Amino acid sequence: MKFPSTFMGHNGKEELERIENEEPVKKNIEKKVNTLIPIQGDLSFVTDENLYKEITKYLDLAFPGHKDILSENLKFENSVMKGSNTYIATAVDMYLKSINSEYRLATQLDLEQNLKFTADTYNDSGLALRNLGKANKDQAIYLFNQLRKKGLTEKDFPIWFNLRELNLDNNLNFNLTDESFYKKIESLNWKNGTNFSEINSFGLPEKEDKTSNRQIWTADYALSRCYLGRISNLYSDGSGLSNSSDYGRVVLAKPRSG
Amino acid sequence: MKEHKGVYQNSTELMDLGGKPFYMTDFVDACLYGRLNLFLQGDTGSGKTQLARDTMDYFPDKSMFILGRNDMDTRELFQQINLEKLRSGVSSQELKELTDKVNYKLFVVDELPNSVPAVRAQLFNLFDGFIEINGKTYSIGGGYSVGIATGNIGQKFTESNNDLGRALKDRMHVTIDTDYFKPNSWDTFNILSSNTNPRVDFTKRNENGNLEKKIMEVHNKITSEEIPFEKLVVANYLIHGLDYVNLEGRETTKTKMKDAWPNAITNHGRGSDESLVLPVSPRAAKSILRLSQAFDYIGREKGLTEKEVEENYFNSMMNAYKFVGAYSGILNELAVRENYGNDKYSTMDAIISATKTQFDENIPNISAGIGMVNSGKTSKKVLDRFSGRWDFMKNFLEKASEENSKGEN
Repeated sequence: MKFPSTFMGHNGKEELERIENEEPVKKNIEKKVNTLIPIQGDLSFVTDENLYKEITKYLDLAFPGHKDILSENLKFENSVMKGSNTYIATAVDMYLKSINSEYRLATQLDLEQNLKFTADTYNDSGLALRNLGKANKDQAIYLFNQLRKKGLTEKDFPIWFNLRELNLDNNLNFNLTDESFYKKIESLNWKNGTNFSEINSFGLPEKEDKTSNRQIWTADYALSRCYLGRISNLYSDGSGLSNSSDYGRVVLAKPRSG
Repeated sequence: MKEHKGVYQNSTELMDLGGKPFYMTDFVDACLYGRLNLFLQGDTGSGKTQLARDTMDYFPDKSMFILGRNDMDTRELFQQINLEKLRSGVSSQELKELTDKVNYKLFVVDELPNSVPAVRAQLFNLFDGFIEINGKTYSIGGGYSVGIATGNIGQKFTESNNDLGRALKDRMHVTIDTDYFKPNSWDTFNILSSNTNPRVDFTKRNENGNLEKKIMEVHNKITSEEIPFEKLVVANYLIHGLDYVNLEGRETTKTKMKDAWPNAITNHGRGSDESLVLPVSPRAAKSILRLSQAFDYIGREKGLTEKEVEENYFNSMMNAYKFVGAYSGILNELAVRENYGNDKYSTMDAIISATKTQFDENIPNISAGIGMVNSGKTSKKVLDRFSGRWDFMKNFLEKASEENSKGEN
């Protein structure tokens, strides 16, 4: 069999060199994160109906077998796109990345900068991996198999993943990309309903604070949905990754560079 | 082909390749070029018989029209093709001499499902270029023969639909629903304004008809030229990649699941192509490759440059997959009914869209894999890029790399 030098327009030698020269992933599970805090006002909902249409079109084309989970959970009403779940948020980020938008899906850190902006809505921002045996174990195992290749073990649980920079495949499995951010976060195993006020540089609870009104909700599901709730609590206890309601908003952020 | 000047008129586009529209007559041409049996599925009066009849003019003296009837037996069939002596106990040598003289290139069978199974089996054999007598096969057609059959497999038959369906899937390489791609209003205005005879026109002859030589030449060309590597990767994805299933965290294949597919798929695989489509068989993959090669040839005839043809290898393969696959029995019929309004072509479009996403994501990795094989080395970093449904590529590249390094030693 004759092997060509290119494949569908990509040069084999160049692609080989690119992969060969990639930096090895370190055991340190803290990966790239933009610690720069976006300025207030950089958060946005999807308020352009044309963008909403483009998003739903992308979702239908990219994931034709999952309209019930993705596009059919979205609607444009009162000048804003309503609806959100873990898959929608991830897929919207994939869409924004594909068009080189200056906006991306807001991370939990982005959301923390302006809690007033998202008040009375819920916003999906992450996933919590706690074990491999309980709710959503299939998705948890799929994700963990990727981490294992990078040298992580179950001792590294609980792990937080930003939805930004995750990739969904046709079966809506979560796939890590080179840019994915994941980190062991102890607060994900705090007692359910623990109050907190301080956050770390990733936007996640740092210290307990009984005087604060804000709470983190936890559960021991294998893989949980994580979202900022309507009264700014952080819910890391969602087992229904695909549930969506009209209170859901996909929040976009304009990451700053340099 | 541009020489096509038959009675049949249909300007509805079936597909697009590099901006060039392909029509029903192009598909007939592609099947002739590729020597692929074509089944035209459609309701009465949809024009399928006229289209098949027009095609007979390509082989003026070497085509045969047979009307499928439930009272036709094999004796009558043999009489039609001048082989009635076969029934009178001739020797093997005489049989060979007799069959050698049968030089039909094209068999058109109208309403094939009306034939009884024994006749149908012989008709399929004729399509494939041989005839079977007393367990022995004798070739006919001088190395080239092909069949076009028509019928409405939705209608009720006196025998099991499954038997018929299986036979059609097994022996007809390409099936087109002529109702789905029926002539548009421009065509019907023209058809009705020029002729109100509701019968299929068997009298009109295309004077430029004899295209046997051209078809033979094109057939020889596309069957002897090397298949582009890109197309081989796509074909193998359809065989192996679409076989992959992640079942409750356990990786397996639809082939291994056998009858448990698709009901045993309960998690995210449900609703995706994992529960929507079976992989293609290696035999179907060959049909897809050959149809795609024929599409490329026609694309060039329509004005595509070599570069444009190459840039459209993937599209060409996906279009071939669509028309070979839609009626080949690979689709989950229940899902097609529930999620795609019983529209097989829309279902195939959805699968093709998902396949495109898969390729878009993996093209750089495959390219790197090729670079690896060409370099004569094995790169774990590259091989690790392939997992899940792309495991087949990892195995292939590993083996290719090994073979390549052996060759260098």
